[in-house]
Amino acid sequence: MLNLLVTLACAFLFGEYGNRIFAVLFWFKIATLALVWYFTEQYKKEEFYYYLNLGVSKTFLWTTTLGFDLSLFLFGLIQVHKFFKPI
Amino acid sequence: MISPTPPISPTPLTTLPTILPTTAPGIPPTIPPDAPPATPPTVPPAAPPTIPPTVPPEVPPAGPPPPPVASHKLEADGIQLQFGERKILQDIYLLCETGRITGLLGRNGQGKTCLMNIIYGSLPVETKSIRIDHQSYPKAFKRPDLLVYLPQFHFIPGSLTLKRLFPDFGLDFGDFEKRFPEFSRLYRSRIRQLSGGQRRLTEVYLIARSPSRFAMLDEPFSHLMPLHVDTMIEILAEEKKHKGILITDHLYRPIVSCADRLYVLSNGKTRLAKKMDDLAELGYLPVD
Repeated sequence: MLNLLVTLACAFLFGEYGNRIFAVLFWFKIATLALVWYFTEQYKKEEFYYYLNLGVSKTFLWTTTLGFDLSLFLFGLIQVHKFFKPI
Repeated sequence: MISPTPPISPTPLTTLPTILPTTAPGIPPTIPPDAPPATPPTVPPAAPPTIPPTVPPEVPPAGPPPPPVASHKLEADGIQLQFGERKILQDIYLLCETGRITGLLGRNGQGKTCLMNIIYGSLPVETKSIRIDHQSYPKAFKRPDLLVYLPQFHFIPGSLTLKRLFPDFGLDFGDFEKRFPEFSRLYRSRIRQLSGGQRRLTEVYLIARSPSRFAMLDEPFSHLMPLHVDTMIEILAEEKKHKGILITDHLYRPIVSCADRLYVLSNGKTRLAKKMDDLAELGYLPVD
């Protein structure tokens, strides 16, 4: 949910300010992903055993979730660029 | 296995329900990885009877269990674990086999949970040898078909429902419902809505029933009411027919009642306990 809010906020800012803040938004998104990873590892580490017992590794979990979130972020920005054509 | 029905008291119970030969010299200080286990699964014909004639009549004679369909062995040794200068584990040999429940007892801080985590592969150490059927599995958590692990804390995400959990583990909720009818109305409940005991019972059941060759259970009886402890012991007795179970808990009486082999972890070493007096001698129980 937090990641979705960050993505929506970034898409809004990208629509407002255009390509010149893309690099800032991108690294901001990466930083939030890193924070989510860190705090999930700290506060939800017990729940990883559930997935391990089902044969789902932590690497697979993180690769898919973070990869999907980053893809959603890029897809959102592309859509904003496509329909709103920010400067 | 001793029937869980009679109350188990350290005083009257003089012999553990072990099928180990009494002539076994015990675990040597170091065991090479390819050495034969110190506890052979079959008792030599010439071995003296394991149960002395003074055993109370309600204790069934110890003997080899019926031959399982497929027998598998989980062995752990060569493990070194230390935190700073303090050595936690240094001289470990542990054998868990299909058809038997292996109990692991030890005082607080002796490294029981660490040992389970090392076997599971979630706690990296410099040296260890974890073998299943003589094949090394340093990261056994990657193979839930071989080994599943119940940690001592709640591990199921609270947002999941019972309806979702049982198919995830390939289990039927109906069987669970038959054993624990009070869960019928909780089928659509989220795990976080259950009481601590209900939540723990669900976790223990899922891991114990999982279709895996081995199951490691860390404190499965804590937080369970006595009625459920007895039922869970029955379930474990059923499950051990086709899997090996390694179990530890500070509620040692259920462990002693259901274990076929019992290790005591003391000063970084595993030692086989063959009778109740051994638990006191190894510093786990108070000396009478």
